[in-house]
Amino acid sequence: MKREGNKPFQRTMNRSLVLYALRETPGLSRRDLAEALALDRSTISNIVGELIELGLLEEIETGPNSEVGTGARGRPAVGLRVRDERLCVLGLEISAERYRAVVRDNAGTIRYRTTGSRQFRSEPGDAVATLVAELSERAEAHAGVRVVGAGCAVPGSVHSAKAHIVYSRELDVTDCDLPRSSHVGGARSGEAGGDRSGETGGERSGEAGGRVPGGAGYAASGPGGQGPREADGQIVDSNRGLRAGAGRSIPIVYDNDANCGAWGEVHHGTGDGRNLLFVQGMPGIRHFGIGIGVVVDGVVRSGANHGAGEFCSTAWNGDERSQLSLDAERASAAGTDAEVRSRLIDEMLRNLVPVVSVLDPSAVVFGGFFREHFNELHSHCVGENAAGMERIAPLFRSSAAGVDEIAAGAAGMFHQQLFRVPRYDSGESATTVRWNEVAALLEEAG
Amino acid sequence: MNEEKASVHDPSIGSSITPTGHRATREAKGASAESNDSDRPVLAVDLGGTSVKTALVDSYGRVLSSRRVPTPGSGRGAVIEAIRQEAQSIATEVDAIWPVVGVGSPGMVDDQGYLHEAAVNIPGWSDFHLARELESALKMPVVALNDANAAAMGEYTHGAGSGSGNYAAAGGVAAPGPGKAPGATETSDPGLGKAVAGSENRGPGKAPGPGEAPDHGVEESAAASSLALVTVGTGIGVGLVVAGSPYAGAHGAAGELGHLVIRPGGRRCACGNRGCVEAYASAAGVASQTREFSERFSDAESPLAAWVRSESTSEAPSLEHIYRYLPDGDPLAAAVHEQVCEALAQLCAVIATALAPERIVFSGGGMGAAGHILPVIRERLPEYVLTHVYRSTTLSVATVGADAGLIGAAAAARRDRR
Repeated sequence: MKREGNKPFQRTMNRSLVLYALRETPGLSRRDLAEALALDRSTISNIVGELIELGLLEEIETGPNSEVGTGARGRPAVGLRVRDERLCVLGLEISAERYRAVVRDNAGTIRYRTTGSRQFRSEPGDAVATLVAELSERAEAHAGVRVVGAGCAVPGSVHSAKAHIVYSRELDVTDCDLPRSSHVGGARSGEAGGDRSGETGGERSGEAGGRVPGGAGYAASGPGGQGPREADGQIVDSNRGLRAGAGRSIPIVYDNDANCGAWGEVHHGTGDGRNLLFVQGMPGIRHFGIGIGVVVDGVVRSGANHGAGEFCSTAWNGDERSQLSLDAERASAAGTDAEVRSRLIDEMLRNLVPVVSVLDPSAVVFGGFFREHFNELHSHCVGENAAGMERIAPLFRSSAAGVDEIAAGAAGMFHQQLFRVPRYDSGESATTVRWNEVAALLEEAG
Repeated sequence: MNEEKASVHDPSIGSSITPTGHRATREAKGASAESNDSDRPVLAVDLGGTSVKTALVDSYGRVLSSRRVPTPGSGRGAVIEAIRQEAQSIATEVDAIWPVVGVGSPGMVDDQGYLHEAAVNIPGWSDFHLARELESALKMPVVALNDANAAAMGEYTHGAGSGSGNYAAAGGVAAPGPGKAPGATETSDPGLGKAVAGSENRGPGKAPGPGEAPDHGVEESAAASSLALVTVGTGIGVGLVVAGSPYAGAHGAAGELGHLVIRPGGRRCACGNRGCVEAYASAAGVASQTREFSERFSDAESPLAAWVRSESTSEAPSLEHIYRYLPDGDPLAAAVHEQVCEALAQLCAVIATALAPERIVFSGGGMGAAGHILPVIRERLPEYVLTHVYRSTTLSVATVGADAGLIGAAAAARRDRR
């Protein structure tokens, strides 16, 4: 993807700032925005006009008593809001052989949900791209929603900015690229070799056919990989001669599953979402995975090389050595065997105490297996052997979204990335979602 | 932000701090709010149990001038008054200072500047709003943070590997690096509370959303990384910088790791628990282990044991002693060295697991021995931490030295977005 020059970058950034401001404070008027962002009224008017035309904003009445947007001469100014209901995002949670999906709008309403079986082991990228396309079409057919993006929760260490799985025991992959978009309707989805943006720095995109971002999804892997090139505003993949441009392309953003759970808590959990831990327990077929999503100052932190919160798995570093005293086979019986479960919970809590000491979160939220057995957690935190656990027990909560916690969190992660103000050098990042792409999908929806 | 703070924050006014709150209004030379802010030094305070240090720190992290007085023992009021007097004295040395004061203090200081608890010998130094009380005394906005976090911030912004292009030699004053102002990676210019304005020539900068702290809405950059500073000395302190800002946690307790239990049922610690990091790696822990283990070795086997036993010894055995004898293979030294390294390795593993910072940096009196300790920790980390985690974390020795707390408090003040 070509890096934008300064001028188009400024436009992109200013547009993101307007959207960000309105997400934080719905109802601001053009004048409020100009003041808050220290931009000319005319600049704001241009941006707002463009966003209204793209279907992302709408004007609302603000009454004479409203606190925002009082215009000149005492007349109430027209307020603006983001059209939350139009920003429907697919949130996907995958494991080796199953998936769970929701479609969630920007206001947090779940508009569609489903689960199913699918093989994700070994070649998760292809399977994800195909599934995103299928579910988008299904959601439209069954619930009348147009999906404008997808967030996908992956078990394992994920480099979100590169759309890359560093290592996943559950999916049995190491160093695996993931598609940055899924192509719906038109050319085949999930082809390797391209990336999703066909922009040359203009402000508008989304004219049918011409400037719609190309469908091929995977980043060129390895140094010397042939990337796509542009021809007449369309992506031509010189590796496979695939001519994309028909149909539409849904951008996909990835993160570790515990991180997605954490995103969910930041956005729609109860209470203070600024500094918290999300502890996810996932029984697998050959192991039991425990991951922590770390939230610092309201943002999920992945740490160096996306290692933060890689907590315990009963088999790690590729061999069978266990970080817990239970081996993989026994640990996977935790669902049915009370004694195994008790040991697993006990060890998880002992390992959790030091992490809480480092981070001093306001809450420790449990998801997955630990949410299902939440009542048992407290019984481990009393008594002689409690060793610091009694100190952290008051922080425990069960996740707000229940079984949808990861999938809804993944959708929330996409929304979060969408509204982030970009940095100049973030052009290459797979987490940078371009409003142009989303707008193109909306425009097509009408 | 309350009314009072809003009214005193006027960067165009020179800053002589007077006790009655009446500000002297010398105009700074040619100053306007936008143009000369970053030239002004920050008034920084580093409060400890023993002494109160005050300094003027420039935008390169250089300490231009500093003062030091003993910490009054009589209580909170006296300490705040001492800070006020020192600040006033040092502020008169320049025409204008940065409009926010940075203050590092022992104890659990949360991100609002409220002090929850402090294990320090100052009566009344707990459970009060430290930042607000200092603001009343100084008549200026104050950023208050934990002293370990302040030191971590100093190391983060001006230590080796900070990308600032210059760093202070241990204990010394930084010279600016060739041509490059600090903040090439982390801008210290608070003027960027605004959007990129219409002028096409203005380069893109880090522009947070309106009225928000930097990271809300702005993508994490590779440069906005994280750092943990482990101070090995009387206690074991851990300061944290996450994504470019000091990290206090919900109650100011982030990084309170000295009494983290790394060995359940292990050595008795001064705090009453068993198996704390401090029981193994603090000055007291080293002294007590050295004395205790010395009984296993004869004078012939261990010159260090002989020294410990000798009548003329009044010094407590310290890491310095351990590493004086270790190169010759002294078994007592080796035994204590093993315990210290293991404890610190486990501490690093916990930090790496929780946060995976890019850098873990060590400082403190004990780290004169870093050359012996760090290689062992590096060797052991893979046993406790996943491969791709430890491979991304570098362990090194702090370079900023004794002024790290002042430099870091100054950096935190510059980042304050009022």
